[in-house]
Amino acid sequence: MRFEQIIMPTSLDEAYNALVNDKKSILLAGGAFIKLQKRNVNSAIDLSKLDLSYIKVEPTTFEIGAMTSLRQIEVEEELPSALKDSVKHIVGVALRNIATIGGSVCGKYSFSNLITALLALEADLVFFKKGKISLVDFLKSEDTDPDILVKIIIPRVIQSLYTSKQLTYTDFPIINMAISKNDHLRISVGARPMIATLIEDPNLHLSSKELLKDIDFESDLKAGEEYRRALAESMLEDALKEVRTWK
Amino acid sequence: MEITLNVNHNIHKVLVESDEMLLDTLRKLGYKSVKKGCDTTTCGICSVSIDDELIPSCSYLSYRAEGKKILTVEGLKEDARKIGEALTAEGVEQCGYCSPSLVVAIHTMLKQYEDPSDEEIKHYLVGNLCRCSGYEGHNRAIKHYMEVRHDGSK
Repeated sequence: MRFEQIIMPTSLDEAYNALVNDKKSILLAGGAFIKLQKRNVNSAIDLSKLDLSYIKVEPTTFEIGAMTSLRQIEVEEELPSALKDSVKHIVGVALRNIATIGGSVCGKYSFSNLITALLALEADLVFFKKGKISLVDFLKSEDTDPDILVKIIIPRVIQSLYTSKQLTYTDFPIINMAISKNDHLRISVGARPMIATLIEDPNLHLSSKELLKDIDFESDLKAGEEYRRALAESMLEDALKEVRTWK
Repeated sequence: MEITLNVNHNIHKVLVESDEMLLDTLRKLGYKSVKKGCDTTTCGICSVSIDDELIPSCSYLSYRAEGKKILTVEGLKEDARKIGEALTAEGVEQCGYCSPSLVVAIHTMLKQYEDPSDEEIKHYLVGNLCRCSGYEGHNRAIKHYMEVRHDGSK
């Protein structure tokens, strides 16, 4: 991606106005995907001066600023293990030092490790203008009105896990899943290769095959549909063994 | 735009494009140890240290480095020599293309982990690809360097 000018807003108002006043502008988070996009824009609105890089540990929730790097998430001990584990295989430490949670979520990437974990963790997104939206609704939404993601809120969960399979340690996943438990159980499956989705009302008395029967899988260059389903069934079976030990 | 960069404690005033990446600026300034590999943050060859964090300079906009301390292998001197000797002794210094970034990555890792375990070393350095060796030699070299470093500090 090429852009002619950088805008460095120091407030969300300033950033939002710059965004809505120029349709050929983009928001710039970590910048990890600049080299992977072939388009020209007038201006890049750099969000790095908005103090959106933080992790707040609250009594019942965690608040993560949209510009928080994946590496900050990886090394923050208090965060749920599903979230920390989901970022550990993303390329390398160097990339994780620049890639942000906000950029990863707003991209709605189908291969995303992070979105799968956040979905299981019942995340809410807080936008500057639209306010709070659940991640579930955000992923379904086709709303293209410009807005700025400010933070992500996740409730504290009692236990959680994340698991994935990829061809090499740092590759995109062939399949990934996350499970969290609070007063109820949430299971998400991602990289199907479509965007992550939830298993509705998971019943632990069912087999992994039955739990996954309504989840769609497809083929791509990395794996076939049948292989993905078989892999997901096996991974879920293993994960459920651990879940059954949770109190 | 004109920006001021602190590279290895040297101050440079340099003209950059808005979308210029630090990799290109550093090479323009003569820091040729910083190599272009995949140019998409995947291979780790362009890694430099910025304020003691490992950063892929191929995807880091130059203006963002203003006011920060950039470190390349040229600025490591004695540490670079010792790490290089450890790598050579284990036979993993072959084509050498990945070595400068690996040396910076090892140096940065040891700023964050005083005495990293095997797992922590592998996890930290997995993003630095080497297509000559099988990584086991790297691990042996790093552990040897850590021992030498500890002995030297006694």
